[in-house]
Amino acid sequence: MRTLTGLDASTLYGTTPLGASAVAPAPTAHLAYAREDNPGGWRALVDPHNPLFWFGVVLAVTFGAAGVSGSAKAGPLKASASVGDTK
Amino acid sequence: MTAIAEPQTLQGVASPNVVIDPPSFFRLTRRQEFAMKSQATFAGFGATDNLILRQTGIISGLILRVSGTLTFGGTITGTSMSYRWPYNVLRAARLSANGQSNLINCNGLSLKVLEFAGNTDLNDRGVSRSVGAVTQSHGTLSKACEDWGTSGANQLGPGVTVPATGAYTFDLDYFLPIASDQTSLVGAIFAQTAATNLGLDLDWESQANLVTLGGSATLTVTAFNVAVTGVVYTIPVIGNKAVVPDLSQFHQVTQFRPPNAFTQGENEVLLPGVGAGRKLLRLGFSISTGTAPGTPLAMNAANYGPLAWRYGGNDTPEIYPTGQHLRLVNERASGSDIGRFWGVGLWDFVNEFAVRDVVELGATSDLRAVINLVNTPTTPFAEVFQETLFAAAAGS
Repeated sequence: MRTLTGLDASTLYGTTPLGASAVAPAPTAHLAYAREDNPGGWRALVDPHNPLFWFGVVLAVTFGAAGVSGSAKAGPLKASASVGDTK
Repeated sequence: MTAIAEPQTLQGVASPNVVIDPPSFFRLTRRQEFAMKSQATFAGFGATDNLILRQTGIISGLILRVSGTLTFGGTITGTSMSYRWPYNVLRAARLSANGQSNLINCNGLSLKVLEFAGNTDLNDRGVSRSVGAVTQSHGTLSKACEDWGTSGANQLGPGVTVPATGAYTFDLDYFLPIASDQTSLVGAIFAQTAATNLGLDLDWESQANLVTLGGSATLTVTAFNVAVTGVVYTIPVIGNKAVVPDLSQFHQVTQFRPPNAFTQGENEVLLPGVGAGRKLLRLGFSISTGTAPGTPLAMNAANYGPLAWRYGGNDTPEIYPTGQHLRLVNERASGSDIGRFWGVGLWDFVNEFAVRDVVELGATSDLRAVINLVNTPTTPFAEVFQETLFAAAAGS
């Protein structure tokens, strides 16, 4: 005697279940970067709430800012600033 | 499962107001079987008929009836039928639907094998047919109501020397399994749409491959009729929503001739179409040898050594010591001795318990059939067919 339950591909053949996961991509589909992986775009990257932002700041100070210096002169006044080793 | 989902697309076709609810669908649908296409004359041997089928409901299968008359004249001496006759007169049936081409792409014999494998109530025992010079009563894959070619007391069949001139009527029956099983309708096609076409191409074998005519014999074909009957289920509507069963999968049967030069010993045939999310339901093969179009190599211990399927480096889950072992397993599962005349060997992963046995093709890279031959055949070629399930284009 047949029942009305279990007559679907997931139960009969072990395929991806219906319902919430019916549109789930294949296991290999997420190996590539897609835009939806970062829905905020570049703005999200420079948001102070983003830990990556502060990680970038520390990285920049540690390496990238080495050797950055500048000076400004207006008449007899002179101001200068430097970060890191500028010798 | 009582899952209810409301997809925006079904099998890649936009379909608003659809709800997937198999129990409700099965309660409310109506099965219909009706002629989808009929034509009194075929395109000709070696040619192709392109049929556009009716698009309605949910299509689970197509019944194909091919009938007609072969009239031999002149002096019949030296005239014989090849092993492409009768079932491979249908060299290929190719079905395309909902943007998926070649959901079915295989020859007539493969369709017969799959019909017997999928419907164990079928039985060819006691059905007398001429094979070679002998009348056989099992292993022919013939139904009693079919006709391989009859003129009075004379019969046509594979390898048969045509006994006399005359008009031989024939009547062949095929089932194209659009759904992987006719109960759950998994793999059936959502056809209630004008978005795409439902096309069936029928390739007919060349006359030279079907029959060798003696020096002064003639052959004319008349009333070669092709009739396609669809097995269709209506789509019930509840509260302005169409109710459908699980259509999340496409069912595919494809066939190919591997490029291997088959020799004595182990031959590995690499299977195409392997991918994540695909399930292998059945895998079959046969090897023909000798003068074209060849004679099937019987599935037995004299012709075949160990037969297996293999993936990865050397993972070999199933291996049968000889062709005879596989033939026994096949008869036990299908109810027919499919390896006797037609030389077919079949790995059937759905016969007992599909969810346990089907092969997940995403986890079996470099999947291949391993065919060990006892001797090197003369001008061999293989025909390999695969039955698979794979996720429909979008939604479910």
